[in-house]
Amino acid sequence: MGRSRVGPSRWEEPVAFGVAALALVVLVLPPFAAIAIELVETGLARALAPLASPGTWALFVRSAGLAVAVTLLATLIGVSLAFLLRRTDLVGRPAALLVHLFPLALPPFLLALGWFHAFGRRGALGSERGSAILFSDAGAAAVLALAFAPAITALTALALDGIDASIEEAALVVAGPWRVAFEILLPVAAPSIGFGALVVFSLAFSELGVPIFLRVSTYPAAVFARLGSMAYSPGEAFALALPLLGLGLALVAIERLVLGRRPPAVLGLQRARPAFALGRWRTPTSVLAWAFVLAATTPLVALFFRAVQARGWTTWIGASVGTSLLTASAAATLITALGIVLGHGLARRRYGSRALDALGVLAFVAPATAFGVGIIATWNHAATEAVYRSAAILVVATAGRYAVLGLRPVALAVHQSPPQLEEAAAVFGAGFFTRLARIVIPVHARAIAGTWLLAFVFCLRDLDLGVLFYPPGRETLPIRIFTLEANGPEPVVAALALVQVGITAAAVALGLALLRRRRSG
Amino acid sequence: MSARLALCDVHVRISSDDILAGVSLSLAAGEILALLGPSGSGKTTLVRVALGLVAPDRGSVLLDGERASGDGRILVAPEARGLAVVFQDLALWPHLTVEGNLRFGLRARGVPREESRARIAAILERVGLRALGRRHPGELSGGERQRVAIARALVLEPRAVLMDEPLANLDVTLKRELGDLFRDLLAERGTAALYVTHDPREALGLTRQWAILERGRIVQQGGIAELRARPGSAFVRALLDDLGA
Amino acid sequence: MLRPCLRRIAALALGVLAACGSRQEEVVAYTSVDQVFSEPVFRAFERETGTPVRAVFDTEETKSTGVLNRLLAEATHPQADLFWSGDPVRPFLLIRRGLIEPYASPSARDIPAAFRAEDGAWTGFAARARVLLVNTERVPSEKMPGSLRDLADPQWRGQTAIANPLYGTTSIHVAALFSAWGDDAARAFLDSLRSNDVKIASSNGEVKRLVVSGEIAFGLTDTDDAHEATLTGAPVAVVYPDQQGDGTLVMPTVAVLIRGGPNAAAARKLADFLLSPEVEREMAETAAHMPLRAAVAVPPNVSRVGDVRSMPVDYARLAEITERIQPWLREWVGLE
Repeated sequence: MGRSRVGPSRWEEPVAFGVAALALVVLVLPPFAAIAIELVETGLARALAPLASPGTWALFVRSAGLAVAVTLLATLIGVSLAFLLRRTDLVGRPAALLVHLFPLALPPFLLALGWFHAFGRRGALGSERGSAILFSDAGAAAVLALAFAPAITALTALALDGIDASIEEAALVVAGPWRVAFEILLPVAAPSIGFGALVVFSLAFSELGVPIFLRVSTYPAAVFARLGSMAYSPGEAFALALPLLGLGLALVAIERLVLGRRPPAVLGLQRARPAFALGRWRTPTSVLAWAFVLAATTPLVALFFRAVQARGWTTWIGASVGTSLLTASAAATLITALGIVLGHGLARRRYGSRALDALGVLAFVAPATAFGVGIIATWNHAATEAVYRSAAILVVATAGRYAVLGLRPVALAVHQSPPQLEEAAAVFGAGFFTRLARIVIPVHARAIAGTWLLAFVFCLRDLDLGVLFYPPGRETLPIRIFTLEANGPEPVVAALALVQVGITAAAVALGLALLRRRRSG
Repeated sequence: MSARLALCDVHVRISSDDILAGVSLSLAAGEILALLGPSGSGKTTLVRVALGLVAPDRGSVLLDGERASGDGRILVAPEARGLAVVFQDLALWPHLTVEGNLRFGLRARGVPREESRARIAAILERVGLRALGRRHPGELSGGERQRVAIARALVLEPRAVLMDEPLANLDVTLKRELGDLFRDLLAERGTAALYVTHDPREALGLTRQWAILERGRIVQQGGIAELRARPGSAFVRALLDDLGA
Repeated sequence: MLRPCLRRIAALALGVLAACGSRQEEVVAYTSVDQVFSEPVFRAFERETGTPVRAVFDTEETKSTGVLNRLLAEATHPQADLFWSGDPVRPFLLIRRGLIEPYASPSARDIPAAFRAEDGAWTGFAARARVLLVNTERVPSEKMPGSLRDLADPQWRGQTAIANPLYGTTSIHVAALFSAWGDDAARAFLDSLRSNDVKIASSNGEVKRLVVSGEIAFGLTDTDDAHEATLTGAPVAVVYPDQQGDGTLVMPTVAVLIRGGPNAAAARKLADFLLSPEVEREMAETAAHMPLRAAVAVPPNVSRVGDVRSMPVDYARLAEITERIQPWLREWVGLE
């Protein structure tokens, strides 16, 4: 598979790629550089001291174990549901998918809080046993798996949707649906599933709020202890962050090794495919799937019951909903725009794109507190005040952190279509921008729209990063929920959490509706 | 002696369009039948009905006299029909090697491993791809992929092969070369085949038994001589005039 | 299809940026006093003076690194004008690094001298205390705990909680114990807590939650959390520990001005407002914060600082101790 050759206007593509690459580098590299400088200034010997302690590494292994458990569980849930809700005739599929996706809207801590209200000792379904299970490693793993599984469902569903119908049909002619699903569809969707697993592993490993709440010690807490306590020692914190970054890079390397050499699935006509009939298993499977999906909404229901007691909660919203929607949209758009150019480059093996991909993963995997301190060090100067003092800093920070969510899915989608599509256009004299606008984007419109939506959801619910440097007086809704949560009336907090879920659900529903219309086009 | 594959008065309506409006067609054992028709005449839908991917609203599909589709339902699942297909875009499974592509159907039918291996080796040898067994489809040329597609269909020793414009995207030389290969392979094995195309020359290279599909109906089915002597429609006449004397 | 959307969004974004560039008089306040209590005070200031307050609020101690650490991270180019700290110890981290602009506010003249710096580097007011919040359904009245040491009492094994001593006011409380009892006794006490299976909650708010829900019998938390708990109608009681012994730890909230902040004059106005008796009264009423001034009226369930036997502490010294014991505490908590 050689590199594809560009058409007559040779400068367009390198320039476009260069600009996008520069943008990503500007978003991601300076914070890391600031971190590195801090590390050196603290004195490497002193900063690296905590890494010498065996206790630190024991904690690291423990955290990794928890993250692996979460990833396995979430992958099992996500892949199964993606398949059931996208490719079979399960009853009420679109509704079930929407309900299943809701946990992505909330910072996991709120979900854990909801579980606590339900299963804590005095909770609605509470008992000593339930409480003991919740406040344990198993409980933390379950809570996090349920919180993150929808990410895998979404990515897998996107991939399944993108598989050429005739590949499926050619298989159906010779083998039954189950064999086709396991031996053809899932393997072809494997790169997306792998990416989803990487995302969930990173989220699970760097999750701070839920393990602290459920009293499970994790490694990120060690990083946090140096940034959140009175012994403010960023140098040590960053040193502790290094193994995390190393782990992230290792995962990317493994991922490339295992899945990288997959040849692309040829993108063909998108025609409506008949759903796999579940036959006599339809009713029991539908019941089970719905039961599971609804059970996962327990924290939401618990929050709802708190929220109904809320009085005058609308006064507490302020401008936060507007700020949230605005910054999340802007960031998602920036992420998608960069993702289109860089993802295309990654799929077509442009020089330097793999390094950029790795950089994106680093930004995603780095502990939010460490990355955030780097952001402050980078942007808090007189020259960049216009950015730092405004909502733009939130856009800049979240765009850098979640850029990889734009890059990868687009790369996976573009990888599925043969370069000949674009080469033909190039031969006809279309420059790179024209090819992007007229070929790449329309052909992959669904994947791109899905990518935007995914980035939007992540930016909308961002908390750990934004809370560190949000412009005074202009916070997003999740930040507001958390600042209010400190002794704020619980019903109000619950009500605001439901607002957060509501706006996310509205955006996702709108997006899914648009995606469905696009399919028939 | 019943036909290997037969469609009886098949109607298919998709969002208020009558794609197939009473199609009747039969394919005898060992016969290669070319299905021609203008674009939009419903050829691909006909293939998918025969395969069992689409249920006919009316009419039935018969395999060796047994009903496989009828009463608006699919009675026999696609994988149980003993048919094979070569789609226009070939639809080779990209994550499997050439051997893997061939093995998939054999495994699904429970063919023992030794026999599988033998059949795969034999057919790869026959189509001239033995050395490429471990490659992935993405690493092959267009012509090589075509050979894999036909090999994948025939390794299953199907009741009939349905081919939906498989050579449409190829140049003249390859078309002729592969067309000859298909014809020879089918003749060697005595496999029935329904060959869909819009190109009369291509059809001629394979068989002299044609069926013409126009606006959802078979307007004529028979030998070329008969079609030429008594063309069933203006389109049929034009098709054959195109071929020359 | 995508392009008109992109254009619209770009325009909106620029609009946001532009709006933020506008310069009217305003004051930027960072505070670690809970938003539910501090935000109304800022709004009152806005109403009175017409100067808008742009605030950065804090989350519970483990939800974010905290406003103080943001101030430290921004030290090279300060964005804040005033810091209203929820505890009296953290401001010393700023003072030590020379990040504070001393200001002796005229409003603060009648605040007891023990609770402010002479040069106005820091001024305390509206205080909290460290209290035991008790679930009266789990704890009969004859067994009511009266001292910190009850947390280590074997009869309450596994039924008590404190917030993570690495963060928040708990970190200060632990430092106060080290200061008052000496290193060895303090360490022994904390170890006894560990062997008594004391639960480590993520925050004072969570201790409150655990007590209210009956998950534990009693826990150590702050007066404002305890007050919120009583408001929920849950079966709880508040105990000021060690009134017969060492005394309860009292922590005034503290206002400091940030050196090099963008709006120095407005900052002084805000400081004057915060340090007024009216605000102390307001904080007593809405937030159960204990006034330092003897003359301020208090609602029935709130005490004045003067009415409570408080633990004698030197806040500056506590700052040093807190930093010094961090590594040992990290080990104690299980983080290394």
